[in-house]
Amino acid sequence: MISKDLFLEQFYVILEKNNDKSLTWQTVYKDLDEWDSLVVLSIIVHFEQNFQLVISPQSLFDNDTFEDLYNSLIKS
Amino acid sequence: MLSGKNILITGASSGIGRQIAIDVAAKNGSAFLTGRDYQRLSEVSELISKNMQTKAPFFPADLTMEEDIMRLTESLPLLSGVVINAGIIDYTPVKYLTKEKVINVLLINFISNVLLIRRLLELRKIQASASIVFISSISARLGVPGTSIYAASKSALSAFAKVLAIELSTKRIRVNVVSPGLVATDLKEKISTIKNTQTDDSKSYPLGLGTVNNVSNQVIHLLSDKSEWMTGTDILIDGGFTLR
Repeated sequence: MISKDLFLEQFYVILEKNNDKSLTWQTVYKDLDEWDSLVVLSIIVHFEQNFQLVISPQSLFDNDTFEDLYNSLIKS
Repeated sequence: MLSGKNILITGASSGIGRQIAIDVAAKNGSAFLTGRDYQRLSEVSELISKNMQTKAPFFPADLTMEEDIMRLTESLPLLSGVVINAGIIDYTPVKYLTKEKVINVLLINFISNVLLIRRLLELRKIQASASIVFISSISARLGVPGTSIYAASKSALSAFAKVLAIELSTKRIRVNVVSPGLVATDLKEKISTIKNTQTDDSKSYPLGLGTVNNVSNQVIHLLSDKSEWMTGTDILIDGGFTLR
């Protein structure tokens, strides 16, 4: 399983937030300006291609913060 | 409606292809099924045999393998209809595409279908006045995020069909394309789940989401002699999606 810090770092890559360090574990990702269906696809494909980590669309909907999401992935 | 017609259906083990196979048999045609999944193909064949008292021979084949195309085409009788339905759906944002993924989608959705038709023509397995129907997608006409290679593969199929239609017109072999919108199948369920982050898909369709029967009905019409003056068309069946 990917480490917690590395997990959060990936969202800067996916969201192309190069000089922005505003994401925290408590950020509600669905409230981000960038959030749309393309971002959902990008998250799924990014983690699958780079970390062999399968994130289902459902788990993205069922959780709100990055922390919730990470914890749900650990449990599954 | 299809009495006396031998019709090959690719991707017949599930979804739209499965429904077309069942409807061909229901309209008294002889359905010849192919697909990759032996178990599911045999179930469709059995279902047809049991409910319609007619045989539906099935030929498990991976059409990306030329030897499977050879084996399949040599096993088939003279055909009066071909439905090219086999394909996969791929949802990958462009920046995550890999060479392997691009090649795989094009191989399954386009190249293998082209090579199958080519081989059927070479063996003269498609009779004069036959009907060839390609299943494309509304995606080929839209700009849905994540569908670049899938849409490109379907666009390629539509373009190929148009040229094939003119090349085969001297034999009165008709070639048409059906481009469905979102249809309730297992594959589409997964897509809907992803897209539902933004909108409820069914609300985008004035007539609601389609069913496999909606698509199959159109295909049956194109396979029948009732559409004998139709060739080179690309029919959109989208429940009014593109009206908006």
